[in-house]
Amino acid sequence: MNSQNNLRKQAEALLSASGTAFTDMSAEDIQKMLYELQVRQIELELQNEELNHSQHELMISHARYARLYNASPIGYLSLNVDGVIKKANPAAAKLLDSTPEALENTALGELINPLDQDEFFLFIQKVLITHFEQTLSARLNIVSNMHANFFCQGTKYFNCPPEDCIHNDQATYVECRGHYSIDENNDERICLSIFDVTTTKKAQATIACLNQKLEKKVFQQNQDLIESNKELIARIEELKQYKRQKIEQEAMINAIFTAAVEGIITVHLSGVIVYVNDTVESILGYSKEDLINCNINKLIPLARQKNPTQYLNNISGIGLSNAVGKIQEVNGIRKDGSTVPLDISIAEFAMNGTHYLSIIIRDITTRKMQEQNDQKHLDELAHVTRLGLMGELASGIAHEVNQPLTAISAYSQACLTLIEDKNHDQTLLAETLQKTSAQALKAGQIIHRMRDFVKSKKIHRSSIDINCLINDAIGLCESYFKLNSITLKLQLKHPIPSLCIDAIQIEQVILNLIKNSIEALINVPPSMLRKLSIQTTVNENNTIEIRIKDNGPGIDFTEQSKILTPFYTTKSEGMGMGLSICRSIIEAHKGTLRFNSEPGKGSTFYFTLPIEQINNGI
Amino acid sequence: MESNSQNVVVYLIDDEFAVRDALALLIKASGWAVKSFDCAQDFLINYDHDVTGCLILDVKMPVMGGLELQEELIKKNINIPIIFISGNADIPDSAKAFRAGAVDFLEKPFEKSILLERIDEAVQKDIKTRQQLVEKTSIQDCFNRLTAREKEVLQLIVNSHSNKEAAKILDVSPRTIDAHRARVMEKMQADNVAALVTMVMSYELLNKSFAPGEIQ
Repeated sequence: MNSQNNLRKQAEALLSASGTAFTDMSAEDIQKMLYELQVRQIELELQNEELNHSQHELMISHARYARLYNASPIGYLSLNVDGVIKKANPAAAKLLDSTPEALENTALGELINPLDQDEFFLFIQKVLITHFEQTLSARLNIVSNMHANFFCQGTKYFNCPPEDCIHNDQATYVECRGHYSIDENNDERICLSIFDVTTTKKAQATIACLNQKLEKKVFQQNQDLIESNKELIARIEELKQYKRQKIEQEAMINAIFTAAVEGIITVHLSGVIVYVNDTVESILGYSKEDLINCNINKLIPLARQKNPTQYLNNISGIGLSNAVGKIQEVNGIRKDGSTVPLDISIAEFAMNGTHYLSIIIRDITTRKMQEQNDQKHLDELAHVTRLGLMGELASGIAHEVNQPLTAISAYSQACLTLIEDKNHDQTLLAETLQKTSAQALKAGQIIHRMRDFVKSKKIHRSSIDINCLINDAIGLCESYFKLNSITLKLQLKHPIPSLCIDAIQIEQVILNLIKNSIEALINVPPSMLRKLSIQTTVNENNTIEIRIKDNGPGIDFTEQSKILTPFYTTKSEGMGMGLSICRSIIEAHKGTLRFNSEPGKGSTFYFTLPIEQINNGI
Repeated sequence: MESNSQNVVVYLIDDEFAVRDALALLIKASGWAVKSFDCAQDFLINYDHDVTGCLILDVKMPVMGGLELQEELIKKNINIPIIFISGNADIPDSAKAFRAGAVDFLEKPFEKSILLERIDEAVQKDIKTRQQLVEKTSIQDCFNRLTAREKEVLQLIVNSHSNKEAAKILDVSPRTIDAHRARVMEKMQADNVAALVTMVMSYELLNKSFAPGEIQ
């Protein structure tokens, strides 16, 4: 009403100022004017009605705008030219972690991360100068509440360390869009829409990060694949090489089989022959066709074996390691029925799951004959050297026999003298005759021993107590010990297992070694004690060891390597055969003869002989 | 013989019991006193220098053999006659034994008669040696009483120089030689020159340095 009154006053003032003279007007004119005024009044009332309607519409529109402004999920800010917030909607306030009221007159720059502030001011300037819409991405100083919802699986798939993860960055990323405007007060304003892009940003970063890692991984895997490929190629090459070698080896083995001096037979475990080489044909006289699918028993029959149990053990004990690699002698049967001595060795192998035996046979007829000849030669040689040895010992033995003879002679002459006396002492006479007889027996024993030693030419092995043999040998050189002041020490093990040996030949060895020791000891000055010791021991490897040790001058190192060889001698008389024969005899008995010698200290000769079970047969 | 053997001992050394026992029995049965040993050392310990006897010695024995014992006895100036016995008499051994004065070298076994003969011989030799030793000792005593000049004169006499020649050689008067000569004869208890010469020659009183060849 007031404003209407004011408007009336204003209008009256304006009318009076215009100077219009209403009193001068005719009635007609007044009539005309009144009409005009009434039209005008209606017109104004219509206008007023229209205005009221517009205002109402405007108010509705304004209310809708305010609703939109306040409810929008996008933040809106109105900034002045200095970047100070003049107005903010709730979305913007929430984003900036504040209230619209608190944000008023706050500089937006203070909320931007210092790293992005330069960009921000540049952005404001651009909006103000260009009046065009500008965009800006920036980080806020405010911790985003969006990141907690995000879960990266990089740790799970790429093993990336959690502390390096991009999600540790808790900044809020926003995107702003600003445009220029002039407000109702004619002030310059920057209208700024702002929204949170943290999630998007982080998602993008995560994708980029994962992408990079994936790429790296793919590259690595690619490299691995290339490497694997290379290896595979090399392996293929190797396999090719193997195959080539195998073919070559097969060819070589075939050549060996064909060219072998030994017969090679492959049999199934049942004894059925699967394969023979050419040599089997020539050894046994059968053709290949005769033999394939026959039983091995046809070639090497059990009944013809000297030692069937052992052979059977070998054949049936297949798979046992003791059957492998052992060579044994068997008798094979030729096609014509004759017997052929064979060396046989057996090995087992499996092919395609079936077990076979590889039997190798060698014709040893020649070797057998050679062995027999060698044995015969050795026996003859041993006999000859035994005679020689006896010759060397003869003067000592003669002395040994001469002593009882002297005693006999003296005793009997004494008896004669006693008898001459009529009152002779009968007891003394009888005693003396008794002594005479004992001396005669003693002389006889020595001669027996010597005769036994030289007579036997044939080798004859029997069960012997080695200690008795040593005592016999000592009996033949007793006089040497006595006359040369040699102290004899015997360390013989009692009881001692029997040996299956040729007693004469082994006695020869012992005697020879004793004689050598005596000859060595003669060089020791009588002022020193001359010692000879003979020892027998049983060794763990089922052998008996005999040691003959002296403290003579020993053997020069230069001579030590030669003394066991034939025809080497250090003595003026002598053939140099003694020790060499001794060694051959011991080796023929499957023993070994060795010695230790230290010049100035003495020598020890020792030999072993195997203890053999009687039922084992030789 | 039997009476002789009362004061005589036959020593026997042999290392072989049977031989020693048999020989001892044989020698004893023949009437000699026997002392037997199984080694040379035992003999050396038990030997009585004053008893007449002989030694039957085995050549080959341990530690000290027969020949070594012989050497040892010579060294000790023991003159007991030795009969060697040996199982195998080799020539070098027997030669050595004989050179050193052995009575005999018998090869085992031997005849009783030969052994007894040798024992007898050896014992006689010992008796003689012992007598000679007594004589020699007395002559030696006389000789020792001579002065140096008298020994020179004796030398010339034994070499059959006349008094005149001796005087010329010694550059003195024949009279002086006469006096010396008389004193020598007296001191040596010799009846005549021949006895004196025999005495000197047989006991070899004079040293080689006084040999006549050198004096001329």
